[in-house]
Amino acid sequence: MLSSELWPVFSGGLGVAVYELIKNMEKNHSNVNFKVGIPILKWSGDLKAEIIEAPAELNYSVYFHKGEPILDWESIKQIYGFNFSLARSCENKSFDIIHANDWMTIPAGVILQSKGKPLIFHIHSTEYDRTNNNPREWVIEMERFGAEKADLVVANSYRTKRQLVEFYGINPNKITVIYNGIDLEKFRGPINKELKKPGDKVVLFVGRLTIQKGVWHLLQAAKRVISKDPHVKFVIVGSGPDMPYLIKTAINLGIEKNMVFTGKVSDEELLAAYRMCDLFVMPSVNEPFGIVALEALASGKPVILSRTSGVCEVVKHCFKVDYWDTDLLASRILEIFHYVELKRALGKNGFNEVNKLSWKNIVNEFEQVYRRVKRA
Amino acid sequence: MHKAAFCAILHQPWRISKYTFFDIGHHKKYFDDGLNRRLFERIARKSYIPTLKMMKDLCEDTEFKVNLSMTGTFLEQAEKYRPAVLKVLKELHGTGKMEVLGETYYHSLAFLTSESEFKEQVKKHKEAVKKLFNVKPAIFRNTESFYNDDVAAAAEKLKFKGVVTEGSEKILGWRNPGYPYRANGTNLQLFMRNYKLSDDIAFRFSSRDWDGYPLTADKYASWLRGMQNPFTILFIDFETFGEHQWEDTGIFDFLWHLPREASSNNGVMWQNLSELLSKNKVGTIHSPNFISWADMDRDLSAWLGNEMQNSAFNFLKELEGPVKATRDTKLIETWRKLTTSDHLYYMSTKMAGDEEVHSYFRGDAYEGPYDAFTNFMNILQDLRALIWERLKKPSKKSEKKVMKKIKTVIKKIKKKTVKKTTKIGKKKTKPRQVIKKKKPVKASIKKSKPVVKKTKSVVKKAKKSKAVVKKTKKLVKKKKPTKKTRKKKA
Repeated sequence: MLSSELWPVFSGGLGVAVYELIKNMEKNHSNVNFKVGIPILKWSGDLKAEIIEAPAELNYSVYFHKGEPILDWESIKQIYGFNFSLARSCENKSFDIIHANDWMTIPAGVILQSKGKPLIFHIHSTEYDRTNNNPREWVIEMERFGAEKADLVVANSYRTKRQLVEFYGINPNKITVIYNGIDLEKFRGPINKELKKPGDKVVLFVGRLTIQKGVWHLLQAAKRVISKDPHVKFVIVGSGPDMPYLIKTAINLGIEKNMVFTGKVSDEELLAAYRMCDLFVMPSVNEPFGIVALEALASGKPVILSRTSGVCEVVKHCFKVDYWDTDLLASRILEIFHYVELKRALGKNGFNEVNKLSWKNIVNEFEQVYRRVKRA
Repeated sequence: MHKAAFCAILHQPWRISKYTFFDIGHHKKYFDDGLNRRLFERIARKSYIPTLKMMKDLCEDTEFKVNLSMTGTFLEQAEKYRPAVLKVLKELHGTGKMEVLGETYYHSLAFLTSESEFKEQVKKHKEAVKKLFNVKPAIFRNTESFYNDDVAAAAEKLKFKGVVTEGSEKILGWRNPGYPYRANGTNLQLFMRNYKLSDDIAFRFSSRDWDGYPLTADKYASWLRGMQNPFTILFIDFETFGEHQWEDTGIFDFLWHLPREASSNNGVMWQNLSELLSKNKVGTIHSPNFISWADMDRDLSAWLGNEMQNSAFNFLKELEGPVKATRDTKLIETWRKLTTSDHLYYMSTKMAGDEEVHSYFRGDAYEGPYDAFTNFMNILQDLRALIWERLKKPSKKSEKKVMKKIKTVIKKIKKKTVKKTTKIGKKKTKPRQVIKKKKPVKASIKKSKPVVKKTKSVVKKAKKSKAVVKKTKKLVKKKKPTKKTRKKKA
């Protein structure tokens, strides 16, 4: 397993997915053992797997693309440096399958593949998703190179698979879709009453504040919602390069009193936020999967999802909107607050649905993929 | 010789347009004319016209007979979008082998809203059928075969001779559906649909997993001929021909050959339902609970199975009184179009087995049960606003007249009462005036206190003269309108 991040030390969605995958695999399939190659993170956690920290640091600003889509010479050098040192630290270990996550670790995966072991390229998001369809050519080439070299590609949704086929020209027979799972136990719990005053109606957003997450559209919708019902509050959890701009937008719209920008929060605070909210909104412009939606569903909350998200494929009991249709989004938010039985039905049925996506089921699918690759 | 009655239902709901929360109060159009037209024209082309023409030919050339149940909303749409459908229907009726069944005009759950509404909708349907075909339906079939003992009683009051419903084991028990039964508490004959043989055509015809596949006319005819009971009621959705089962499944060939195959060799005798009315009934069917012909459960759960459906239906029910109070026929008709059961059906959240059927009927109109619910509720909210506007508007003119009358009455009373209560009136008003005047003055609280005491004493004096006040109150009570006006003024 090669990954550029690993929960809980440093992680976005990728780090959580990798961590849960390893943890649940260890729990349910004792025949699969992991050796995890990561950059220097000074990682500590509860995995049985052997953690191999390559002697190289990574500058994540390359990954979380900011501003102009340029990769300078220094960052290219750094990524290659990381990958070479990662490959060197892993080459002497014994392993049967290489499982590389996203393009940041694919060069190391391809180097290790030359030892005659099968390579799985697990794609959690594509460059088109991360940069709002403004991709960096070099990264695209890395992704295409990895997907072509790999023996098998795992995409986290059919949406991602479609992109790989259409934009990258990858053979669709090579791509298997396995969704991200969800740790249901974590999200069960009582409502934290201290955070929420009676009568407050809370809409929650969780995610990095970048263009692709569509927070700007949520703000437009919020304005319409608040003009109808001033008791609705919007909690925006997460930080990102667009945060100052979004706050400014909120002020310009005159809705800053109903907006809470929390910045980055701890895991406990995030859980509290899920439990406290009445409704979860994911208005993403581009969302390869959107595990936060599953987390909200696991907390028993109704969700409104953007049609351009991968999670949309698996969740039926939710509202789906086009991110640009802010009027409809606003209408849906008000409807959920206005019709109690709708809110209850969405929450209850959504929760039942997400039960099927427990990591235990997802891990079974991965085990089969490993077996298939090894046999081939 | 085995007897068989072939029955089908023709129905189209008035599908509603997209209605967001922000549209409430703007009274946008409720019904999506474009969508309704598009769907009706498609179904007319694929199903209604070719099937009806074929049935007409069959009735002319063979022993075939049909029993059709047509909802009022279907007839309205046929007239509006494709009058040719009505023309073929009349031609089919002209063969003398088509029986028209009674229905609720709006294909609604009216029986659950109120009995009077139910009766009105059935009567309206009767009138529509009378106008089109000049016949009076003798057999009743409630919306989606909703049935319990009360439905039978109501149908008897409406002078029907029989009721068609689902041959469900829930009410039949071990008994065979192919016999004449009496509905509990009435003299009505109950016709029990043979759901196995009906669904063989309606649902399983093109299903390759089914061991009866492929279903041919002679195979089906042999099943019918082999029946031991006196008759079989087949009841299916008319759109089975050409819409649910597409033409390339061979459904039209099946229909074309079935009547001949079945009636060959002294086989099956095709019947109109009223020909099956019999005085010798073999038993009584008790049905305290509602049954229907839908889903695996065969009860009301497809329409009233979850919280959203119940809430929407209750809201609809609540509007019945107010909408009728407006006496605005157009508005009442709008409300009635919303009572059509399909609107509730779209909101079903059933998962196992029946989900496919539900989402098939939901079609392109809705993505899922939730937007079906909000759309419908938003329209009801708007309708409620509209009703209240109407209830206020026409009465405003009359209100003015009443107000004028009331004002003159008040003046008369005042003249009378003022004479008697002048003293009290002055005393009562004085202390209030004192307080009001004192408040805005920046005087300290201590200074104003004695004034309050003074006013208290004044009030005490006033209390002594309560008896006089009571007299005036009585006067006021006698003239009722004055009270109302005073409230309104306040």
